[in-house]
Amino acid sequence: MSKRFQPLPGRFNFLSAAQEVLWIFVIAFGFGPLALAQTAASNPAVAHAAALQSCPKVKDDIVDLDMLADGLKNSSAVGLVEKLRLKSAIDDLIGRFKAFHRNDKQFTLAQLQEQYDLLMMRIAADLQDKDLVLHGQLCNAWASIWTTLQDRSRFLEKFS
Amino acid sequence: MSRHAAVRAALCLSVCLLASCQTPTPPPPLTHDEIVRDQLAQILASRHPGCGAVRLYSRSGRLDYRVECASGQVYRVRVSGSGHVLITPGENP
Repeated sequence: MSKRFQPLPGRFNFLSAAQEVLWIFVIAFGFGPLALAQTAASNPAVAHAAALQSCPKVKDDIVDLDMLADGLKNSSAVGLVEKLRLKSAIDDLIGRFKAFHRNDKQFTLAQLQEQYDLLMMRIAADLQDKDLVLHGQLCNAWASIWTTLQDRSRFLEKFS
Repeated sequence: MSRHAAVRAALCLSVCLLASCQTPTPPPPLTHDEIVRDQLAQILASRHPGCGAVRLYSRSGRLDYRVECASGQVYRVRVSGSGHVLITPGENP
């Protein structure tokens, strides 16, 4: 740095103040979202919340897979064959969770979560353009159904 | 009823009873990879029936997949903030 730009003692130095403000902006707006993205990548719950952050408001909530299966049964959006397939897929998934909670660890919890998400995606894809109410209910219930499935005591209370 | 007809009927009945007693051997349980491929194929089937089986898949987020079909087509399958499943053509590697 040349002698001309060296700060004078006791005087306000505009350049270093501007640098400080710039650093504050970089930290607040640059690293903040980056840190959030890293958190979302490492924490599936945060990533999930980010994916399903604007579910439509619904009047009646679905709280478990049985209610979802009932909703599908009564929905005109899904054909009979697909209804039977989905019911079978739901029963299979519940069976895998039963085995998991009985300590028969054929699948890890992370694998079961992926299987659950894919089943919900499949149902959502069937409903999204045809039954907006049930689709909205599914979107809102995505996280809460998962919470019940993964929690051993809640699951056994529900399915035993 | 003649004697032959009675014997035939008894034979048929016993064969049916035997067949009903035999339980079919259950199929081997699917692996996680097979379950994921099957579910992705089902998701794609409604919009892109030409996809067929899923040859390869990779996951870039919890609800975000890149899927390569047996037909060679590539799709990105993900869930939007409003819970909609979005299927968009992807790029071939």
